[in-house]
Amino acid sequence: MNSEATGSRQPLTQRFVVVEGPIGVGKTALARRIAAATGAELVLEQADENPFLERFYRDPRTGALPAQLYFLFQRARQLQALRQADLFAPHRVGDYLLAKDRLFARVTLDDEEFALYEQVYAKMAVEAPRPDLVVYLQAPVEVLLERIVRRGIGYEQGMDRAYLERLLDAYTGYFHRYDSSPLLIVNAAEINPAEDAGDFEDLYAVIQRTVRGRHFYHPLRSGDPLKSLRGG
Amino acid sequence: MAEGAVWQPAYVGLGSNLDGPVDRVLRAFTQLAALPQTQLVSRSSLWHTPPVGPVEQPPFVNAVAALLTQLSPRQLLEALLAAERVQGREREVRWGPRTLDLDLLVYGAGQVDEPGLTVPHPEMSRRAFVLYPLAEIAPTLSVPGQGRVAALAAAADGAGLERLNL
Repeated sequence: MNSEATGSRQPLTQRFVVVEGPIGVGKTALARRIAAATGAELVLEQADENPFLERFYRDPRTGALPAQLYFLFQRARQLQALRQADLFAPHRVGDYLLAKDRLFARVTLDDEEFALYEQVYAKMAVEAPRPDLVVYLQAPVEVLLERIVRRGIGYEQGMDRAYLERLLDAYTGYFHRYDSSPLLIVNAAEINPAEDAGDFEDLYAVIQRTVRGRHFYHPLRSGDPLKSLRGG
Repeated sequence: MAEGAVWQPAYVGLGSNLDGPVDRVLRAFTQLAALPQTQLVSRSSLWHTPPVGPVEQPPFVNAVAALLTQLSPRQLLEALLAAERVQGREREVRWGPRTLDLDLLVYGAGQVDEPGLTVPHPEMSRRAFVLYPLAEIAPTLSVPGQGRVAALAAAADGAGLERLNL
């Protein structure tokens, strides 16, 4: 299989990089890989620890609000802890934005619940540290599903295809307007930087030089002309 | 919503060694795609094991399918047996027994040990004709109690196994 990216190269240009994107796109694996390659500290979401998730899976309709609120508090607490150590902090790489919670909430909650959630969120989001770079990985539903079964992960958020599609739309809308941090939008349909060493090296070089603005990285696999024709 | 909202990844081994095994396996993919509350997400190549020994018999053709399903392991097993029977019924008229095997290899991250249903499939970690195709579509899958697919496949003896180019 692919060799791990070899460690101890120069550290990240940025102090705090966040990899975002929908379920299955490979954000956590990419974050891990960047951390392994640069010695940066990992800040990962801890979905498994949410005691309300099981209820959400059983009954998404009534189980969503407690699950969302738990995630919000948990993540706000985790991110808040980072602020206190800012001065001496090492470089960090994370696999979620706090705003992600709101994005999911919009998909899982009804209108009244979402209004309530918004009130709580508005109070907490202020405290989240701002990343120096957000890497947003995009891929179509077909590719996400394939990667999900490659890894055998399956569910994460009680997903089905329609849910995944709504989520993709939510992500697209969110990052279309996003301007809080420098943003690198990566079309990950043709590449898999989480698993492929060459893909990772190429993407990593782009990450290192993206320090401001909004950029698109649209790599196509070379050597397969059919693929580049297909890659929209 | 008993099994409702959660879509679990499930991996099914397909095999046939009767007349037209390639067609049978391809048809089995279509059957899997038609299962209720189930999506066929990816399918491996077809793999060919040449028959060993002096007895004239058709080659084995194997493949693996990856599903996302809301069916429980037991429900999925019943659905697979039903799909086998659909292909088997014709064969009762025309040929001998066993035209198609559909084995539930892995279901989610769980382990099941009930009468008639053991998941992950206890022998899969030694069977190259399962592991090679599985490694094509789920190399980073961790088989509960057995290990990572890519590593299991690398350790398996795949002598004689060939990927079919269709």
